Order: sequence, then structure tokens, then C-alpha cells
Amino acid sequence: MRKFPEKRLWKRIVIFGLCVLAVASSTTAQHAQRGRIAGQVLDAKTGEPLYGANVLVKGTVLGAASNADGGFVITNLPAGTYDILASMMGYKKQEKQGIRVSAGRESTITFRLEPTVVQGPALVVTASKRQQNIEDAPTSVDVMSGMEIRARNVISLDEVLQNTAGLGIIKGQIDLRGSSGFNWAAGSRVLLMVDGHPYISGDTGGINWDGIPVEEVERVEVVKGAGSALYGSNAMAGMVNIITRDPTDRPETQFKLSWGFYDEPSYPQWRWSDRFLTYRLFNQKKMDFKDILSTGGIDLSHSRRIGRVGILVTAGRKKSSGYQENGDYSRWNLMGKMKIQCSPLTSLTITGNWALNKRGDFLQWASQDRALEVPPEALGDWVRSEKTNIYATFQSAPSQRLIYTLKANAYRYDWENHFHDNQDYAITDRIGFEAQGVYLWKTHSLTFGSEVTTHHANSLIYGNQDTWDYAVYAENEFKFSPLWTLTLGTRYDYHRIVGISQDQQISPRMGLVYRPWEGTSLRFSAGHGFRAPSIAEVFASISISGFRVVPNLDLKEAERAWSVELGMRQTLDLRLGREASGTFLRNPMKWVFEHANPSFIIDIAGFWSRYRNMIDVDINPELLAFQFVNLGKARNQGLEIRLMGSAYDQHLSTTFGYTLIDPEDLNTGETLNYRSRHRFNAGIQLKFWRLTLGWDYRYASRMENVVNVYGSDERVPMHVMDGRIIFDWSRIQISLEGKNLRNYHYTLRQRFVEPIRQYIVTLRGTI
Amino acid sequence: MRQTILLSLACLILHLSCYKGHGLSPTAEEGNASGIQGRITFVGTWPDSTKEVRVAVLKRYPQGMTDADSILSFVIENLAAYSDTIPRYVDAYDYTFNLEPDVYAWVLVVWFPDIPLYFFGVKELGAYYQNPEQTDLPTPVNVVRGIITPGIDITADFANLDREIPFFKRREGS
Repeated sequence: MRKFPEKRLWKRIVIFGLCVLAVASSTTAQHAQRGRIAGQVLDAKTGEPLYGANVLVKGTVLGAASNADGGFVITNLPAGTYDILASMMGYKKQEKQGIRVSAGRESTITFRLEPTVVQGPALVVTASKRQQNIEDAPTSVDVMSGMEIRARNVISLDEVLQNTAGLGIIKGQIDLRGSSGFNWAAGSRVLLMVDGHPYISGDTGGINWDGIPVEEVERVEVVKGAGSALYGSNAMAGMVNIITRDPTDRPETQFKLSWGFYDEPSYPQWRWSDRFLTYRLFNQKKMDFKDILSTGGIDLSHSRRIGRVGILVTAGRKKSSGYQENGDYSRWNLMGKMKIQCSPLTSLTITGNWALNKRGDFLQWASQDRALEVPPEALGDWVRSEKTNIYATFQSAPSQRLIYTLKANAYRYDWENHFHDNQDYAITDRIGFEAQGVYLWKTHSLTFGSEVTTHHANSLIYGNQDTWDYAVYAENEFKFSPLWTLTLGTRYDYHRIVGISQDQQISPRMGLVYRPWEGTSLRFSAGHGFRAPSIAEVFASISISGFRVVPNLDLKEAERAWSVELGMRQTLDLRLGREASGTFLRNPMKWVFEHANPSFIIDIAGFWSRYRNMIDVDINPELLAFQFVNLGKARNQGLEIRLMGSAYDQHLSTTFGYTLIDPEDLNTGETLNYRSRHRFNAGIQLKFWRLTLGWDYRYASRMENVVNVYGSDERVPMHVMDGRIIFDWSRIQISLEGKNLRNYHYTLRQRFVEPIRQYIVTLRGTI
Repeated sequence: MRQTILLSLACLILHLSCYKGHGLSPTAEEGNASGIQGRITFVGTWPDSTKEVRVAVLKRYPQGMTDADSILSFVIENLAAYSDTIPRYVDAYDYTFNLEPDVYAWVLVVWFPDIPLYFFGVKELGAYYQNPEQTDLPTPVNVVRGIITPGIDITADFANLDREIPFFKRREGS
């Protein structure tokens, strides 16, 4: 077998990078001959400046984000006439047409954005690997804002993402519309990214949430459907992109203190510790917090701009005694982000985060009668893990039609088992480079790029293993009429497991969006996705608590899938009454009716996927062990309905989602393992005075099939209800959150009870 | 507004209608933790026809019974109890089995075939012997209230599935 010339490729990457930088620097010399547009973005209702609004020059890649004063400047504009678009989450877009720009002069404009009752995101960046209007995206996109995330007081981001329609989490891994079951975290069919950089481990290709700083998240975009045409392996069922906030212009320090405790389980048999908060405590002379199973944390962050350099530094510490034996954890995390604005159109962002996690662990409970206890021999088993992630993004627009991005990322995941019967460890690395360009030409938007990624694992259970991935991709969006948008693209991937196998993929994608009138969008997409087997799936050799996993060096083929989606998105703006008049006290019913002005976004999507060579864990009876194998064909189809509504000037907002999933193993005719046929989620939030009341509910029907190692274990559906009260006072916020308020007990994987009822108090402030 | 109220109500109704107790529950009533625990070591190859394997306890030795009829009658007479299902395809398993305080004459690992009829074709894989060298008679275990008796280790040998008298083989002198 011919050895692939990796060294030559590195040289080419470096030369390419230097050339791009040279081009970028040469373009800055032309700036003096051009004009600029400056202005301000304000709230039309209050007149307050809007921070973080996007201002774009239509038909170009040029734009800016408004600062804390609402101000913005777009430079490097050749003399001419332009249409300028301003948009922001929670506001209606506004366009100013025919703005004249003269060489060496500044044109001034002011945007006054009307608040919209639906808190929809104006622009998304993940669906097509570039900024676009959410209604132009050919696949389903969900967006969760940082405000929504922080309101829920979560320790880890996966807790809050479960409130997204069709999204489930099993042992930290994402299941989007039934794409994945429980696979011991070995391989994810959904690509998790932070700021557009993959954040999956080098060994399993799995997701680790504890390295993600929840407090610094600006928004999360969830894209459903095959994304391999742009993102390659792991994105076969979708992408989740976590976008962290940029450093602020003014010095700002934020803090968050939280403390919570677990309630008792519903059954006395399941009490396993005297350290529960019981009513007896209140009769004691002195309350001893050591008697309480608690969770607590502190987060501190500081952000500021020094000249052209913006800095964001954050540190966090979380500790919990857990709600079950071996359920304790102790976490530290640090994050630093530096954004250098080299010129108005050129920036370099370098981000690093580090997380240390020591947590108890176990495979299965002691028994169903002692479901929160572990088998005696497993008591005290724990895992230490450390994640270090550094990534850099260099972005520049050498002309008004071209913007290019260079990305580099390195992620080290280091873990050690401290189990009674297993002391395995692994040090795994994932290093990746990407060069990407977006070129706008008339009605075309061409996105193109190439990627190189390597994974390396050094461990007891995998040995020393390496994989290499190379890819090139291109996708063109063509607006062939004001109503129609056609997207065509493809990606070529070459995957090599050093010394074992090589494989290649072509992943085409087609999308069509029809917007017959304002507020309506019909979409169709079809794409091919794949996932190359991870190092863990091929090489893992491990034995824990009597379970053995053996390597499968014959696992050479990537799993592949064709996915199709047909969807519709409709915005409904309803004016129920005449212009609002009178007061609430005079005629409450009239007031309620006249002031509602509800607005909804309804999104309906039908989806269908057909998998080939699906990789899953199976029992090898000859070896008395589990093994990852190419299972065969599977089909997943279903329907999803999402409704987002808001009324009373966003004082009342609601979200509902229902997903019907029909996942079938086409070889056996059985439902795929660890899938719920029905998923439903609902959320209501009411704001008045300084108070915010929130309520979330999640339901997943009973999993019909699981890997049947436990025979006739009982399984139940999931019903989880959370509630919260938030009090805002100037720059201080105090909140009380109740999680799993009904204290409902359920399992998502066998013999592991998910969290019981918990209350958390949080104090948050900005200085 | 009416739509919002209707939707909220619909959601609430749906939520309440789905509410059925606390979900997963213990299999046994509350009581002091009493029982046995130990390690089961599996020897041989797990057959494909395995439905499940459990630990079973019998309050007395069967008298001349040969097969599944007896185990069913023991269950009916409340003379036998079964643990949770043991994970299949494992080399070893550390179990804990909560039991009523009593003397259990026979503690054994039983194998259930993958057939639709429960308690039929059940076979013994191994039993608890205080002295593994002396396997003539299983060792009775006394379960005391409030105590989980440790060290009840059992070797479960799949070769036993081929024995002529599969389950309750006659115990001389019992």
C-alpha cells in the first residue's frame, strides 16, 4: 500500500496560509481609496442602543456588528450605491436602500428596529457554513439563545439542549430524531462544534460536555439532517454548533454563584444515604450542610477591549455530591478568548479552554430495589478526565465579494479509569486545519474549502493508533428568482486508519427553498452523510464489571446514509384587537385581549433516512464479548412539528415540539435499540415586573428495544418537568430552579436512574 | 391570547394525562436490607438460546423432582425467590440479592432458555458451596434481618446445561 504523503501536505498548508496572509495585507493598502458607512442601531420602541446587531451590505460579504452604544462602521466600500440590512434576534429586520458611498467619505445611517413578538434568530451560520437568513436554510434549524440557556441554571449544556424538539441525550451523546441510541459514547452521528470547530474526542469521536463554558455561550444552533456535504464524518444526522460570546467593548465582570440540593427519592428503599435533606433537619438545633446531598458552583468572568484586542477570561468550579452512590463530581474549567481586530475586515480569534473532571462512575445499579446504590465492589470507582482545547480562526475579506477563513484546532482528551477492576487510561488528540472561502457573485453564494484532520490515541485499551482525514468541499447557493433558492454542493473525504484501512466518500447535497411570500418558507433537502469508524470502535479492548469489549480490525467501512427532508416554516403575526386602550383594572378581559398580539412560528418537517453499514455494538457469543460491527441496513423516518409563540411584547413566550420517529432495522424488522417513538417538549415563560416564571416539560415514550443483556428489565417513558422563578434587580439576578419537579424515576440506559428532584438557587451579577 | 391560553391548557392537559406515578419503582416493599451478595463466575460459552440467568434461592431441597414443574410449584408455594436478571455474556458478575430473613437451603444460579414458556426448561448452572471442593450438598444460607450476608460466591458452569437431569437433580440424603 502506498504511503500517503502527509509531510508534503503540511508544507502545502503552510505555504497556502502564508499566501493568504500576503493577499490580506495587500488589500489593506486600497482602503484609502474607498468610503465607509457608519451609524447606529436603536430599539424603535425605547430608543435604547442595540448591542450585537448584525449590519450587512447586501450582495457582499461586508458587514459589522453594533457595539455597546449601538454604533457600527463598515469600511473598505468602493464608491457606489448599496442596500444595507440590519438584523438582530428578537427584532424585525430593517433594510435601507440606495445608500450612497463616495471615496474617502463617510455615509451615516440610523436603524430603528421594531421588536418582534417571536424571539426568532435573524441569522444562522451553521446550516450552510456561512451567515444566512434562517428562512433560507434548506434544513431544519433550531436556535437556543444564551439567555434561554442561562435562565435554566444548568451545569452542563446537554441538560438544556434536551428541550430542543427531537433531541435526546443518552450518556452525553446526542440523539437527533432517532439517529443514535446508546453506544457507550463510542461515535456520534451528530457533530458537536464550538465556534465552528469540531469538539469531539480523538478516540471515540464522542462528545464531552464538561469542557464547554455554559456561561459564555451566546447561542446554540442545532441543524437537523445530513450535514456531511459540508462537515464530513460525524455530521451524518446533523450538527450542533455552540457559539461563544465575543469580548465586550467595555470592561465587564460577571459572577455566578449557585447552590442546590437533591430531594429524597420517591421510595424509601432507594434511600442510600443519611445525607438527604429531610424535614428532620429543621427540628435540629443547627443545620449542617454536610448532611445534604448538594450541588454548587462558582463562575467568574471578565471581558474587556484593549485597543484592537478584545479579551474574555472565565473560570469555573463545580462540585456535587450527586444523587446516587458514585454520583459525585468535582470540576474545574478555564477559558480564554482573544479577538484581535487587525483591520475592520480582518480578525484573528484565539480561544482556549481547559477542564478537569473527577467523578464517580459505575456501570449499573446494585439492584432495582437499591437503584441509587452501586454494587459493593464498585463503590468508590471513579474517573479522572482532562480536556484541553485550543482553536484559532483567522477571517478576512480581501474584497467585498470574498471572505475567507482559516481555522486550526487542537483538542486533547486525557482520561484515567480508577475502577476496582479496571485501571485503563488514554491520551487522545484531535488536530485539524481548515481553509474556507465564501464568494458572492450576483445571485450566487459559493462556499468552498478543504480540511485536514488527524486523530491520535495512545492508551492501554487502543494501543498507539492514528487516523488521517482529508477533504475538499464546495456548495453553491443560487437564487434563481426572488422566490426560489437552489443549493447544490458536494464534499470528498478520504479517511485512513494507519496500518489498517482506507476509505473514501463523496457526500452530495441538494436543497431547494421556496418563499412565496413574507413569512412563509417551504424547503426540501436531500443529502448523503457518513461516519467513519472511530479509533475506539476499531481498537477498543476493555473489560469493566464483567463486560468485555474486543477490537474489530475488520470494521473498515464507514456507515452511510441518505437523508431527505421536506419542511415548511410559517410566521403568523396576529392582531386580535384594535389599538390597545384602557387599563387592566378597568376591564381586565378587554386588556388581555387587546394587548396580546400573539405571534407564532410554526415549523413542520417530514424526514426520511436510510442507513447502510450502520455501526453498532453487538454481542459476539463466540468471544463472550461485545464488539462494534457493521450491522446492515436501517431506516429512520418521521415527522416533526415545532411551534414557537410569543405575546404581550415578549412577556409571554412558549415553545412546543413533537417528533414522531419510526426507526427500523431493515434486517430484522425490529425497532432500532434505545429509540423513543414519540418525543414531546413544551416550555412556557412569563415575564412581569422584575419576575420571570418558567416551566419546561419533556416526554419521550418508552424505548421499545434495547441491547438485551439484562433480559426482562423494566423500562418506563420519560416525563420530566422543570420550573423556575427568576428575580431581576438592576445588575443582580436571583433565581430558584426546580428540576424533575415530579421526582419521576426513569432510565435512558439500563440500570442507571436519571437525576431525581433537585432545587438550585443561583445568584448572578454583572459589575 | 385565546390561542395562547388554549395551547397552554392543551399542554397542561397532555402533561397531566401522561402522569402515571413516579415511573420506575422498586420490585420489593420497604424493609430492612437483608439478603446475600457475592460473585458469580461464569465458565464456558454462553449459549445463543439464553433468555436470562438469575440467582434463585429455595427454602428447602426439592424431593426427587426432576424439572420445571417443581420450580413452578416452589414459586407458587412461596418457597423460592429470584433475583434481578444477571447481565448476559459476562465473565463474572457481582450480585446483591435482597431477601426476607430466613434459612435458604439452596442458593443457585439458574438458566432460562429463550422459549415462550416461562419456568420451563430451566436449568441449574451452579450452586453455593461453602467449600468448593465438596459439592455433594449445597450449603444453606441463613439470612438475618438487616444484614446482607457477603461471600456467597457461585461458579456457574455452562457445561452443566448438558447434564442429564437438568435442574432439580435429586440430592441424596436431602
